[in-house]
Amino acid sequence: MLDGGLDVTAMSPAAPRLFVRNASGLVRTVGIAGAIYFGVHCISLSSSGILTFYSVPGLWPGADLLIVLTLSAILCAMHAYTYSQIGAAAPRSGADYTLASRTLSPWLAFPASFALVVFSGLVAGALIVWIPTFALPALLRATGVLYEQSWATDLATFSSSQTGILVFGTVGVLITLISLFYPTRTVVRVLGIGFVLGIAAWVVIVFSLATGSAETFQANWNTYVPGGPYDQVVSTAEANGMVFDRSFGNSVVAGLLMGFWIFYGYYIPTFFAGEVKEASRTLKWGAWGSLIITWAIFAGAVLLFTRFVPLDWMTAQGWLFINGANLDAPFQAEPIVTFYASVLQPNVIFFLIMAVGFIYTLINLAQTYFFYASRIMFAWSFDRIVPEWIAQVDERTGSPRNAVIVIAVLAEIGVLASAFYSQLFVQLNFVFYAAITMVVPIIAAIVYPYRKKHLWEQGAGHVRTMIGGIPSMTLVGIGTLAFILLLVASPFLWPAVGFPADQVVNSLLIFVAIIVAGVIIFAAARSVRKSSEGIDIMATFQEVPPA
Amino acid sequence: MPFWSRRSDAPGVPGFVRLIQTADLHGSNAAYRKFLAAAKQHEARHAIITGDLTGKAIVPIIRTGGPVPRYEAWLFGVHETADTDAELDRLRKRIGDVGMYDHVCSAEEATAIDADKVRLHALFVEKMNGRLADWLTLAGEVLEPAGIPLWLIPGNDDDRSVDEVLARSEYARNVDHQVVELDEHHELVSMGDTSMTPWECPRDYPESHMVVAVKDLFERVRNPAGAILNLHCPPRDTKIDQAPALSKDKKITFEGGQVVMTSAGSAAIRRGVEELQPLLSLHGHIHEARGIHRIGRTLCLNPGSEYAEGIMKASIVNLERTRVKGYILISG
Repeated sequence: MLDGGLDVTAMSPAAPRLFVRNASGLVRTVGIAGAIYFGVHCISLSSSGILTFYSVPGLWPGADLLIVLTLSAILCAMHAYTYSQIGAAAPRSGADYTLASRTLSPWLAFPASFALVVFSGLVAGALIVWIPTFALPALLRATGVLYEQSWATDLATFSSSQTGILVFGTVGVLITLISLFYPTRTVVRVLGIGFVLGIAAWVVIVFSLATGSAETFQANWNTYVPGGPYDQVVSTAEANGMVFDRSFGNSVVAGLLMGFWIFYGYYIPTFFAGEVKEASRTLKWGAWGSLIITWAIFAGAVLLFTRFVPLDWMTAQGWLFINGANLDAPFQAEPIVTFYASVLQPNVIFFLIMAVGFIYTLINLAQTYFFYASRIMFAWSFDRIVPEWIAQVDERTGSPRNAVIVIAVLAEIGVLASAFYSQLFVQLNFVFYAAITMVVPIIAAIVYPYRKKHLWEQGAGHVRTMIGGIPSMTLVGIGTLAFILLLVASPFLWPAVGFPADQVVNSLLIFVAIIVAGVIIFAAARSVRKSSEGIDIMATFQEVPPA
Repeated sequence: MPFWSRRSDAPGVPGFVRLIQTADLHGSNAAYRKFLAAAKQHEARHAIITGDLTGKAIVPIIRTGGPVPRYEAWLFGVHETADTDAELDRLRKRIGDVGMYDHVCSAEEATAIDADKVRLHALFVEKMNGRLADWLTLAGEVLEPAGIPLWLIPGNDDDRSVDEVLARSEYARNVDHQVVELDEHHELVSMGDTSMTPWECPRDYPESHMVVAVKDLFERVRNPAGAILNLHCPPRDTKIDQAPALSKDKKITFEGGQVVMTSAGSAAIRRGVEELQPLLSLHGHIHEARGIHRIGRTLCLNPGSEYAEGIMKASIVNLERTRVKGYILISG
């Protein structure tokens, strides 16, 4: 396979499709399998696995989890289609920023990209907070109850306290930061180990769920989990105000809104679009493939678990945990799938595999966020918008230390926000902000066939396809924009995913402040480059008509 | 919109010069034409192409049908057809814009060419040199009236036969292995040779050759403080020489869901830049390693390449006598 996506292996039996000569430049050879690998890694089997079993049912009592998972996946598939078109139309690093800045305006694209990086840094911190909030307590509590070690139970309680989140969260940020100071080759090996550990954890989970029984689970729960017998979980939640809404509409609304919570990450290969072959096909099927695989894993786990534990019970557990701080209900246990599996199979090897796998892959996930956010910062540096030192790499290790430190500072702010507001609040904000920053590139995709007609006409594969005489990029883009606007509006329309009443203004002000900061940075960079270097950075966004 | 501000950095200030540089056009008509236009648009004093001028693939356009011919081709995995001469012209233009050559023939002829390596090579030479000759003519038409000289070198992917075509150029000048004066303050130091690649291209050499070639070239530099290197191959262990690491069967390697990157530049060039400490070092070769890297006082630039999308990538550099005043990487 030579570069430029030249497929020389699929010759027509009648005549050759392409003659190639011996030449260098093997690039763009990340295939569909590679893109799926990226996508699954970025969706994260650990954090998304936690969300599926806890926040989705807990936020939407009565919703059918399979309907929610399926509808979410379908909507994300539409969004994935649009982003794969963006990546195929601008097949390079930071494709969304590149397409938006060239199709619309850098004045819009940079602030949106800036906001995305800021919130990616914040959410990296929030993801690290999953460790003291869920993964570590699940490990310690299981140790405590199974082996009657009170120190472990006490440490589990401390871990999920505000101080514990601050301490362990900061340690997590530092570990992530230091790990990224090592040579890239070492870092990718660390990620490779994480992928194996994550898969191993899910093998244990599926095995435990597949071989468990209702009787075992109930008996073990009542034995190991203090504070509330198994058969009182649902009634406790209902007594405290949880109301089941079993209507189809409730499941549909949850499905419409939870896609990014569960599957966010499937489109990340778009940010590496410069490294994939036949970007059109690879990005589309890479994103769809990772969605299908993770949907199958989560749906399969739900089906296995609900064989012996009613969905209502799982919902009540999630609801009690989410609302626990405001209730007079006894605390029970972290409502996460690893803990359930440990209760089913109280085996020290098993729960060590699950706990280590989840903790390790949560760090990995934060590393991935650090990685792609630093790549976007590189793109800004190439465009001379941010100082050169941000994209400097360490001579010895090749590590982009400065960019990583900037992301680490943002991640620490994410840890602080999670400690003082709640991890859920930060997650909610991230979905809102991630969605709103996508509005600009998606609008760019919608208008691309018209504003950059000549480029669109020479676009590859599905970039140029039409539906009913309208470019699919425009038509699907409009659907994707509607989906994204729904996510943007959701915190104001649905209390289940709404900002706390006292935080609405703060959330909006923070967003506006970051966008304004992006505009100011762009204006300042333009002014400084113009006056001190004699260049106008707008030149990099202008299209040059051929001579 | 003017690209520069009318201050002390404006053209006309003693020692000021603006360069525009690109590399790895690989036969893309669109990228080349945009580069020529950009040189004029940004009022560059010199235009530089840092190697790899020719394309790598020929798309056979199969002529089918009876008295009224119909044409079929595969471009990026998509089946394309043309029923009229106008459609055929559009198809050929699209092929040329993304750096490929077209060859209209019957299915039988295409099969025969595919089976005959000598005939295939001859076809490549004909197509590559034909387009390059057209480019050189166009350069004279576009740049000469604007007074912008075009300095270029072949790269490791360029067949030896292109040297003859370049030598015949009336306007553009092949400066491979030469040190030429751009003005009284700045010398251009050029070479298209590169370190060995897995493909063993026409101008790939072992490091032992690179050491000798770099030494020979750099010894001829009179004023390193104002020297501009124009070397297809980037220096080793920099941000601008990072390429995917390949397995023995030339497939990209992955670890942990990430592409494993490795340095593909020349150690000899790296040492040469460290010792010579020129003003500026312009490179290409690694398409995906667009960016900058500093080695001591020397700013090293690789504009990257997306020729296969018909996208022009270039660097624009404002120079003073012994200082890089400003730079920007552009694409269009």
